[in-house]
Amino acid sequence: MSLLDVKDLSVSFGRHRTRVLDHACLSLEPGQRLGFVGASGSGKTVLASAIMGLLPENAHVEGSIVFQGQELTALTDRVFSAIRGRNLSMVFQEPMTALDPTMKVGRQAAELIGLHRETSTMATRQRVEQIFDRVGLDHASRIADAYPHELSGGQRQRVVIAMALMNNPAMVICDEPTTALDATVQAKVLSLLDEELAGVNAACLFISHDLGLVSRICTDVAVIHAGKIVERGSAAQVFMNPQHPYTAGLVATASIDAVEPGTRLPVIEDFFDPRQEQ
Amino acid sequence: MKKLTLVIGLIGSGLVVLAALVSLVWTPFDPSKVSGIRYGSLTWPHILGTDALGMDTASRLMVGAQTTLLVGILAVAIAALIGVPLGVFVGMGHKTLGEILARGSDILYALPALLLAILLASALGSSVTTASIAIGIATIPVFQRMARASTLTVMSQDYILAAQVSGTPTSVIALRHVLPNIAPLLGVQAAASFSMAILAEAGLAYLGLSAPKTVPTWGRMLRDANFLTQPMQAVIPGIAIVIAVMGFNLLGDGVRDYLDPRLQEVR
Repeated sequence: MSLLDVKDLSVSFGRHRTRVLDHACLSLEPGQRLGFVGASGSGKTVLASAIMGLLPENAHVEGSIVFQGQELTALTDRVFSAIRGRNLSMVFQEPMTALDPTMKVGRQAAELIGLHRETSTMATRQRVEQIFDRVGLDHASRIADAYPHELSGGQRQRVVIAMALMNNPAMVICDEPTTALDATVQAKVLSLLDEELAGVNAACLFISHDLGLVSRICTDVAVIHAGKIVERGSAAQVFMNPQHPYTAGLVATASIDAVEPGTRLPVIEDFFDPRQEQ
Repeated sequence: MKKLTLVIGLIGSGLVVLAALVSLVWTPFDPSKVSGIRYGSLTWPHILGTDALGMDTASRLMVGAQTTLLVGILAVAIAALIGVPLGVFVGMGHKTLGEILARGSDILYALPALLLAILLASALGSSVTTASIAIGIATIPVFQRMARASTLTVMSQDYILAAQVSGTPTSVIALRHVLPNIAPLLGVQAAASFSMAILAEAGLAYLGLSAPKTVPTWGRMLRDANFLTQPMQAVIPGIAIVIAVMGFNLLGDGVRDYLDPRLQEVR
């Protein structure tokens, strides 16, 4: 049985039922990593929010999301809360805003443990420091006593990752986790994420618009365009032999090295005309 | 500049608190006994003169500081304890219910504190407590709106999403994440409302809707003074009111500038 099974998921907003996700299907096995690629506004984040049950009130959801044998779309908030943070967690895009500025990061992390497990204060603190240490934060106990504004962007993102992994989740949704970081820190955080996900054998839905990142961390790739999943397959297969013209465009624009010097760089419109689709 | 605000605020509000505290154990004369001639001039031992009955103005001023502080604390406590939970609830909660509550506070907002005070005074008898309650109730919408607006801002932040994602119950999010983040703004609002309450009570006392004649309050002293013949007896409590109002206002601004971690980051 798959860990996550999304079937015919459609999400629309507002009175006019503007569809931002159109009959999306995808499944994830335990430990599997799926890169979810698409342009801004293509519906990536809406899919993640739908899985996490965080869609705003005016969203209209059809279809089914089954996680660990449980239908998520029908759950009440109370039952959902027990799953979120323990079996299902999330790494956010903006490390600057993903941490509460008025709370020491150690306490924020400890809160996650306390919510889902009965432990003593001492044990919780030890666990926090242990995880901070594992994600490569030096002087874990000093960092735990720091406020977010006292940490660098890279440190904050490590804290965010540590918090996502705190309860050994079965699946982590990463929503462009390295977009806000510079290239060097990005590479470090990415390899950390790679190691840690493997360490707890967590499945991962990695949302990004960067094909290069996805190919480094994911075994499988799904491409989304204008609310529709247009292609799905193993990373190698999708990148070497894209079936959908939009994917072909994405791959070509990402491999700048292959372009002859002096010639024009390819754009997605060379491969794919969105008007033809409709 | 920031430091100056804080220092002036501290001096102003400190003077009022000090006067109130000292008056608990010592005043130059008994504030409710005739101790000199009527409208005595500003000379030793009555350094601020005496009032229409010959009671020592300095002593009455000191005891009046107690009432002033009491009114501020009581009014702000009522307004904040009701307004803030309402505002946070509306900001975090259901839209339709929020709209209804927001319109309700608009109606309350339209009702002037003065009218409310007259209403309460005629129902419960005029006293410092009724005046404070009236001012407090009239201030609820201010806190409710402030709390709602800042809650809405906080709710759009990723760390709230992160807390929801990790399965934090809504009540815990409200207490641990929303309240601490809107606290600096509410603190400044409390200080501003504190001084507004002092001013409002002085106005009510001037109209005879607050303390009875036996309790010395600054507004009452203003009322009883004859400005034409003895201007100093009106000017002195007036200055005291100005010092208190400005002091608490500036204190609120100063403390916010000093404590807010986000402003510290910029510095």
